[in-house]
Amino acid sequence: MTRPKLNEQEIERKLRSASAPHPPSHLLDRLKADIPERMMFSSPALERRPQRLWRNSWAVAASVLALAGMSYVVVRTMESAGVTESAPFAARTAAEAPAPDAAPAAAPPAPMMDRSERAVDAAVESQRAPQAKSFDRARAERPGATPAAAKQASRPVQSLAAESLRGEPVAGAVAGGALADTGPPPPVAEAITVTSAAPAAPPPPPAATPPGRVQTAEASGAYAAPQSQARIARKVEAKSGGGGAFVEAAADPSSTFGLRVGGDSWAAVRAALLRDRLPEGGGIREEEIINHFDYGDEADRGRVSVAAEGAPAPFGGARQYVMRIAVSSGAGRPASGALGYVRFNPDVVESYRLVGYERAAGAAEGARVDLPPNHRLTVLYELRLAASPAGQKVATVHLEYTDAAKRNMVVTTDLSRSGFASTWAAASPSLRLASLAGKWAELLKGSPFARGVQPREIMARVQQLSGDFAGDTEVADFVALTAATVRLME
Amino acid sequence: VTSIVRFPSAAVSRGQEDPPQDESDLVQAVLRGDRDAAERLVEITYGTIYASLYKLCGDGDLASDLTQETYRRAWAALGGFGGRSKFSTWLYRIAYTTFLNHVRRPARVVAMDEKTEKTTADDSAPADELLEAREESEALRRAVIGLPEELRLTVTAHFWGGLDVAEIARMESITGAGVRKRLRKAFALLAVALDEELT
Repeated sequence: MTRPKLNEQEIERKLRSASAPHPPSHLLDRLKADIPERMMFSSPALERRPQRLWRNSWAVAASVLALAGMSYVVVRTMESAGVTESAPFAARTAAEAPAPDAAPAAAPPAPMMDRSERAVDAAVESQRAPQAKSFDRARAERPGATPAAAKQASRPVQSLAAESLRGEPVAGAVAGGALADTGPPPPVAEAITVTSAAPAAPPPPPAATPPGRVQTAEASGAYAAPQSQARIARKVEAKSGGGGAFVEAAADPSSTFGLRVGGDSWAAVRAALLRDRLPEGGGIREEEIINHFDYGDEADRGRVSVAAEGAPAPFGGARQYVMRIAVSSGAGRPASGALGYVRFNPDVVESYRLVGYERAAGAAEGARVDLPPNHRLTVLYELRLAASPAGQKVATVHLEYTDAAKRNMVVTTDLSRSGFASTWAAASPSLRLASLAGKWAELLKGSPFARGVQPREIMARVQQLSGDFAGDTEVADFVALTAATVRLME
Repeated sequence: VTSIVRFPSAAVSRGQEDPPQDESDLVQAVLRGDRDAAERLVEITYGTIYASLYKLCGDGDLASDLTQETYRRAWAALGGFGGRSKFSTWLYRIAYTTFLNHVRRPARVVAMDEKTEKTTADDSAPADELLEAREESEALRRAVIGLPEELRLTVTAHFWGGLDVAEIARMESITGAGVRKRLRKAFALLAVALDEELT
């Protein structure tokens, strides 16, 4: 069935009736909190003041010059007239006159005016510079700062230049007060290309960033990913050391994760340990070890479910946390073209790291896959959190897929700071098992992220945890394997 | 030369001024360092800015972030606001530019074709009518975003930003007739785009 083409009135009606939800309740508070304590304005009054001082300085200097000149002329006239008595007078004048008054006779007036200007400039500058810096810093560091704002303050010159070269509006120009209400509009592209929303459409941009990895283009500053040079260097270094590096959420708040993992790592690790040998580190895939276990996540028939939980990490610093994402599909027709990604809140998450998935660089993660029925997946992230109010959102997990009716669907779930377990012991058994499995895999692999972790500590924690998985032979096997690890590594 | 205003200004803290209500009065008060005026200015404008950004990006969380970014830029640029246009017009332009800047950054871009249809893991399937309405609304958003720049700005400023024809004409330095001509051209393009999307 074809519908008649919309006419002008119908288009206008649709545009007028486009609805938007009410702003979230916290937004107004965020906006009010963002009002700077100090604002910098171009002030005509202040602009006039130095000019007046400048004029005054010239007037004073000219007067002094004229006075000195007159004195000089008088003295020379008296000398040339042969008034010998004038010599003592001249000497006395020179001796008694205050030095600053005498100096202008020999020196041009400019230095004196320069001092006046410099005094004004210094006064203004001493007032302005720290405030300008503190304003930028406040924008960058304020809790609740969006990534764009935080990055803008630390944006290197190179990235601004790169944007300018591409003809894109440079946000810094706005921050600098260059956006006038009647000025020319900022350069904008002719049009933004809109691609089809067909199920086979390429994945959205988060997919372009392999999880836990650094885009080469970003590191080279080829596009606007504002970062300090030091940060870029760290990320390049992290990249060269393999995947799974911590990524600063302010620089890259989105991370995709693979929805399919292999399964041969566990068997290889187990076989090696049972032969009293440490497995080859290169063959160990953390995500496969983690997903060897059944965490009991379920989804209803024909549906896809996403859940997230978090807790303080068992290893690492006080601000280190673990987050488990559970994806499961129910029985029935599979979901096709599925893509999973997390969007972290940079106000709360300083940095994040996807555990594992190194092999899949540029391949599995970010690519849409078909989820088989009864598919279960656990994805583990390590997070470094900033001190933040309990209610703040830490991350939103998205899972896009096309359902059996060919509709494009997105399942999202939020994980807030208050949704985190207060202690490791209070975390769910599934989260504890997943994070121990991941850390054990990293330990066997010789990963730098397991540096300082004692095999004995992992064994003890797994033994303790096994009580929650009574009857689970795989967990019992895990206990035995961690014991073997202790024997071989200590 | 830059002046620095710290809130609250001495005059305001002594209660020498009546609280302004009009938008332009509020701006003047903010320029004098009246923090209450700044808050009031936010209160009376943020709903429209959020709504226009939501209609542009189709995502509530993102619209909130962009709204926050818009006001930060506005405070930073307020010294350059000469009062020759309405504050809300000026603010809308910042919001619009903020949106464009956002979607053009590859690392943080929200794709124009990103689905905004959301379910929760525990919800039952949405009603067909709701889905259809969402699809229509999303199709309209995509069609508007796909317009050439000057038409897109004109349409979004007028219908989603709440700016009248005269304000847009002033902002764009064209005549009112020019604005209406742009709108008619946009309607024709949108009709074609929606026809392709929805049939």
